[in-house]
Amino acid sequence: MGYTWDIQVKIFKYTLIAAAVFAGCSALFLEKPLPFIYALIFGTLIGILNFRNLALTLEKAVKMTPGQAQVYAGSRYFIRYMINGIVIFVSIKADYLNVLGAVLGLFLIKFVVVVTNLFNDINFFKRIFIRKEEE
Amino acid sequence: MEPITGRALILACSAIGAGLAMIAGIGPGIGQGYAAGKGAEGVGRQPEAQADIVRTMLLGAAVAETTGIYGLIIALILLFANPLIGLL
Repeated sequence: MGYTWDIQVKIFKYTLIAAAVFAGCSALFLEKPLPFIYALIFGTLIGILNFRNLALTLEKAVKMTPGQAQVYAGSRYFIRYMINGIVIFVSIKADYLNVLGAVLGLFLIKFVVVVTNLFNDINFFKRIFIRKEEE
Repeated sequence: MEPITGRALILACSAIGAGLAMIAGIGPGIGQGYAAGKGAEGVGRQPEAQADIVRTMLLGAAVAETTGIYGLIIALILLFANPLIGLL
């Protein structure tokens, strides 16, 4: 499954949990929650598949020569970009899908990556208001 | 010659704006390609660090893609769900 499989599974798990939380909140607080929930599921699943595609692309790219890797990663990025465009276009055009839900679903995996890998250190938050001179 | 209506002007400016917003999608593509090239160089230099390199690059590349999608959303909303026409 490749050496990034464990990190992928961890991120997929957190993303699905976050999507479930957002879906629950929308069911409680929105007047018509169904379009939002459908779009959230749609966006989240496509986001997860895009992340998997990115992992496969990078695993393959590092085994190529730098020039080939550059072209390969760039071309695959534009394929994912088009997929994202199609998802957003469909959610704009379809009445049964909420655009904000789809966009939130697409970005959810990125928020999860940021939260679980960059802002997961509690000392970072403790030090955030301490000036360098006081240390 | 027919005068330019407000609606036509908004549609024309929105199309130009959508085109400009799509420029945002090029940057992450170039950046991701560059990062993959440097990753391949790093793996060539230190093959035992391949797992660490790919893992770090994966997380960075996933977050870097976000800015391109922002531009895409702006462009698609300007083209297909323009909120400015409703203001006329």
